[in-house]
Amino acid sequence: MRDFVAWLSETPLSIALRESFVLWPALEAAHVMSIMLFAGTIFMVDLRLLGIVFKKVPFSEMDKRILPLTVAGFILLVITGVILVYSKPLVYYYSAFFRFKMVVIVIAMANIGVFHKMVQKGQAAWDTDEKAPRAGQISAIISLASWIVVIILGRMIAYDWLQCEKLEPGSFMHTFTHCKPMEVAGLDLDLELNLGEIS
Amino acid sequence: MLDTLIQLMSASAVDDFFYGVDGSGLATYIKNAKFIVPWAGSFHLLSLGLMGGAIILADLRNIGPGLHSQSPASLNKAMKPWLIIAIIVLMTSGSILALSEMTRLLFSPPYWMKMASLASALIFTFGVRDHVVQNDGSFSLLAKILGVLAVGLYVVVFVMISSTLARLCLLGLAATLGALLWFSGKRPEALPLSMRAVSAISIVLWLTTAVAGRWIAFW
Repeated sequence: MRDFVAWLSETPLSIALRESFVLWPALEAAHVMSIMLFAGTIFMVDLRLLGIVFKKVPFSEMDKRILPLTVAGFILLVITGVILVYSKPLVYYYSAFFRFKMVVIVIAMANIGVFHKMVQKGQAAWDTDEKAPRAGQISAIISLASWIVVIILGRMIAYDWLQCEKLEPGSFMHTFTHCKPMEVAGLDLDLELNLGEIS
Repeated sequence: MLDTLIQLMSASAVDDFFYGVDGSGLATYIKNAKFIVPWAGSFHLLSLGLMGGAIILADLRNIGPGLHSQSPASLNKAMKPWLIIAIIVLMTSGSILALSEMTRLLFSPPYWMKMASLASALIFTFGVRDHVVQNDGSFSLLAKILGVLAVGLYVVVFVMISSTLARLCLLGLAATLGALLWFSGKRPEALPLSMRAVSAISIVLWLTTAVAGRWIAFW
């Protein structure tokens, strides 16, 4: 995997992207606007399930009118996110925060899967209720919590607390981040060449 | 042009203010604390998400997809507390972020662009949009004056920015919202133009503020 990521970082397009003066800020701008669309709408859908907002709006209308916006936001986030990762692959490969973020995204997606496959099956019976049944509310809390954590972890990628050279070799974090012993000494020229900064 | 303005301002009391605040005990404490800035940044981003929800649910509905079973006035009212909460958290966390790099902000074009578009967005949202949406599309004299003030301020920002990228992004944003405004007028159940226009402008102003804020990190 590490070899693949290193190869990816040497592809001409990846180099061009990270050396571009305007593309990175443009991508970050698109990523931030997509967060507003995605997180904003999913927060409101979750708050509706909890009976905190739009108590009189049927759940089916939220599904039909708001969830497509959430999906659009997610697609934009994935597209801009993938390009951002592709432009600095090794930075993200060796970022513990990025790895945690991916794990929590998988948890959040699994929660969405369970919600659509199981919880929503009986939605017709509670479509106009003030709040969703217990299972729906639990799903909403997991969703809110996991997306909040994803956003926090995403912001933390810019900080160096958990970079390989700061981690104890053999520790869980060191193993989880696949840090190489060489990099603990800060001697990996290959890595240094490709790192760059994220702000 | 914006650079010139910044240079002029930096030679004035603004300069003293920024350097004065930068040397204060609170700013020093924030700069020396390892975890304050990253957490302030996280809360800034989370509240930005919440603001996105409050703006999209209330305003996008008037020019595109949204909860069409609900009236624009009721959505505006339902989303207002969330928008206010988001703005309070954004301003608190934003102030902490600013205190950590006051001297850099003084010379940062995106920072001044953000502050101007923030002022524009606040005046427009609470002084114009809320009034027009709550009154089925009619403007009071005060709303008209505030509208001219807010949009004028935004136009000044657009004229003065020195970055082509920023101009292109703002034009793209305005064109997208303009297209939504145009198409939403063709629907049989279309709302009055004034109501659709204030919603489109509100979205443009807040998105500009968010994007300019993100760019502070780069320039």
